[in-house]
Amino acid sequence: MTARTVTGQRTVFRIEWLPGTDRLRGRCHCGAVAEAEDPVQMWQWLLAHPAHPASPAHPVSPAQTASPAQPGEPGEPGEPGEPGEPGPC
Amino acid sequence: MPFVRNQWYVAAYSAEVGRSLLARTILGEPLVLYRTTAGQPAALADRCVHRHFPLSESQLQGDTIVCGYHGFTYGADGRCVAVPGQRRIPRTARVGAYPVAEQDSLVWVWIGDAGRADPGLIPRAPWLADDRYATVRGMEPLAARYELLVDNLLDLSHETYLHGGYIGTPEVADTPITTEVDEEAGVVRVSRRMDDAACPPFYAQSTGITGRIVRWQDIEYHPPCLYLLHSRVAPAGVLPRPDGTDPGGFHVEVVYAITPSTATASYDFWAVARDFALGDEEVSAFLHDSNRTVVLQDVTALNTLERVVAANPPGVQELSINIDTGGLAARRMLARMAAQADAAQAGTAEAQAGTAGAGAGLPGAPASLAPAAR
Repeated sequence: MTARTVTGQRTVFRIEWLPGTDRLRGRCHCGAVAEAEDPVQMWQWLLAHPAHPASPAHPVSPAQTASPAQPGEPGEPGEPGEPGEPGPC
Repeated sequence: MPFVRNQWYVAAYSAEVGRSLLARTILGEPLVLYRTTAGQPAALADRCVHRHFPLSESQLQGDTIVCGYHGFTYGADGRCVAVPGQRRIPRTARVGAYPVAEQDSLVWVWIGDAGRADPGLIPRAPWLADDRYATVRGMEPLAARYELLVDNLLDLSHETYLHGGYIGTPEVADTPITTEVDEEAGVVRVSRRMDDAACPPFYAQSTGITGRIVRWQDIEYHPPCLYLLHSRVAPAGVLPRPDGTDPGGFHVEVVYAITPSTATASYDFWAVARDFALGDEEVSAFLHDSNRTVVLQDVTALNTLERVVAANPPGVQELSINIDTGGLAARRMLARMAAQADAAQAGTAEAQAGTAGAGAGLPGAPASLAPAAR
């Protein structure tokens, strides 16, 4: 799998389900943090790295993406199989 | 979702591959597996080049397979070494030979471009071949696409509802999870830590714990094939020591190999390795039977779901909630791996077409007329 190489740190995206709530907290390997109540929106926000939208409720648009996503890369709107995209499975 | 080619897949347990012929279909490709007289596993395309009779229904003689229909004979490298009634063996008389590797009591085959096969890429499940663990295992065929099993295993909240009385308790579905995607390692991790949970029969009867427990479920999914569940149970309040040792904990390594067979069928390899009651055959029998029952509950549910999904109209929507965070990550990773493999294959095909066209001087010639196919 192609990795997003970030010098000096691992490229780990993390989502914590906050105990006692329905909220999710996403933490990008770049240090950006956001909260949401929908895992689809949370993944979209995380995978938009480095152009994280202000809020997971406002998914990234192509114009907001700092560098063009590669085919098959996360963060590309409409990518087949992107988290949250409905499909047969 | 398409198959993910250019990957290693578990084709069998080591103990299944011996001096008889074993048929398995992986990613739609029929294979025959056997072990040579030197003890090496071999995997060939399970179709005689002559009239496509299954080699798995033929005879193993030494290191060769003799086709049960007309006697075409193939070595472990797939090359035909004998044909009936004539001395000339057609140059194209060979069947595909698949890269094979044996590790951790599993036989892995590489499906895709053989030139890319690197055994160093195979993820490990070392407990399965470690004397410090006692392991029970099995394999259940699944009449469902492999993605349904990935979904199932990445979200263990279903244990509460589908596996109550075996491994499910209310705390599993009620406990929040933490999910990580490690892009460099190519791993999805899902962790669920229950501090004070009921002990399900699976663990109560195997460990002897009678009260409530600490129960940790730490998943590592190495897509596409290998799924590891690091399970720790201990009496409530008993945690690992600060130095990392854990004499008060019971550790179970649950291993699944998720191998796609066809677009709507899969192999569900399962194994349960424990670090306690090592010589206790009664515990082994109990864990084997219990886990097999659990797997068969999944098989029944997923076979039903496959029929439903297959009949869904195009564009039908799903609904995902917090429990699906890990499954969504796995889907994305699989989709990306499939796209990368397809792109690589397209590039290879394009390069080969260019080379063949220049070399043969027959651009556009039907394949049946190309020199290599005669």
